[in-house]
Amino acid sequence: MSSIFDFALKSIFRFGYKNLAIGAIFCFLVFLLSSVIFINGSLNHSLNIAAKNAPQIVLNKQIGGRYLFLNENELEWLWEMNGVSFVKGRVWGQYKFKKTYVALLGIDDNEPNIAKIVKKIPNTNNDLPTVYISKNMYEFLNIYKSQDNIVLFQSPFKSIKAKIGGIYKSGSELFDNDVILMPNDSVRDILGIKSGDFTDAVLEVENPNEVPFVIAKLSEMNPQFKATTKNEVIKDFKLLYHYKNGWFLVLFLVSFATFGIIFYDKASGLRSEERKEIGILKAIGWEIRHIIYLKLFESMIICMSAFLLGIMLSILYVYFLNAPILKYAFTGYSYLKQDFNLVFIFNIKEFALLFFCTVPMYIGVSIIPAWKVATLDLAKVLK
Amino acid sequence: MELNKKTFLLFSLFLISATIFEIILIKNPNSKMVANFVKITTFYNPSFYINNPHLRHRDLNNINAIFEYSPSLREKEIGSFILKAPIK
Repeated sequence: MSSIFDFALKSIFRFGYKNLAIGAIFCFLVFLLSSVIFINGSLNHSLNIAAKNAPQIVLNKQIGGRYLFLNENELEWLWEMNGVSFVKGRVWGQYKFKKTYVALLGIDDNEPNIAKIVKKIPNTNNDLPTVYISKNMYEFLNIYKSQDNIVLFQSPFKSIKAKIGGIYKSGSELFDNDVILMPNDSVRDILGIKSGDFTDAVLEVENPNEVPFVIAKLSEMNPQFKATTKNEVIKDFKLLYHYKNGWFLVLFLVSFATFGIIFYDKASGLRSEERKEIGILKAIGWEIRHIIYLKLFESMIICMSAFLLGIMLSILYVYFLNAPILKYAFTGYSYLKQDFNLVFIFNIKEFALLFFCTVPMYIGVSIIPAWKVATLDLAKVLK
Repeated sequence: MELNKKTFLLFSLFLISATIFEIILIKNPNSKMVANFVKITTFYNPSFYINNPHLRHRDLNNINAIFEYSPSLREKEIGSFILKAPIK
């Protein structure tokens, strides 16, 4: 058996570089597919972590098909609703710098937990409102801010100067990359939201099983309310990824079609040189099983090496190089740098599917034609 | 060009050890930061498609409503930064 393995190793490059080319294509396809699997798995994992701490209900107000701000009086009575344990109005919206949108999100002036997510920057302008931004945003704002870290937000309503008070700690770039945290009043001034009004509100329900009941009660008590549950939003995002996976489905189909072409080429028969080689091997005393072993080792060496190399390169590409080009299919292009790190997730099921759809198929289509030739009459093969 | 057993073994060993080393060396981001950020801000939309408001803020229903009506609608760019020259 060992000698057959040695012979297989030596025969890989015997007929030019055809096997090397097949191995390279095989490796590229595995690399492409596994990169998509890695990115998708990591994004889903991060979304699940975020969902654990997300509010259960997001409440908007809708009148005659138009969405309006919620007033604090409309939120006050929600505290008295049975089952509702927390109500908070949110002030937020999008603001456009010249090249990109950013999300302005209001927080309380003295948010006690802010130090948990922010690394503070010393700033002497104590009379200005403080904003907290991401590292990428800090780099992006370089052309818009003064040397002492003051940014000017300008809108048709009011111009606001604000000091950069801190940068988010590393780890949550997937969610905070374009978010600017600033005091509620400043967000109101920039976006033109009246005092006492909120963009929307978040609600927590003590017993998660009661969420549908609370929503039904909310819409019954005030038909203008439109409630969205956490599960709906998460489902929406996962659908977005699936939609993107839909885009990637094309990629998958193209990749598998290419695999199909390789398999078809292998299965359609051996070249005359390979047929002759089998004939000669039979003539010098090799049995059919020896020839099958030879082709088995040959194809295993090519496809297993290509598969492993593809996986290794995709880990390098996704987790060390941050998936340049491919990540924009998920994240969209933006002037704001998006250099977030992804959590390493190895989804065994998906990789098993990838493995079993490629490696055994390739081995199969390599062995069958060789077996067919090996069972023919020797004279016919060598003719 | 011929492959021999030693070269093949070295190549296989390189592939396996490189993969293992890569997995060991991956710096996973601190998941606690995501949890803290969401807890403090109640904001849990991934910051993707920043320049497409209906994709960036999928729970901001008014934006969705506008864009679902017709994808050709575009927002008026109010609130944009209009300084002619940077302060710096």
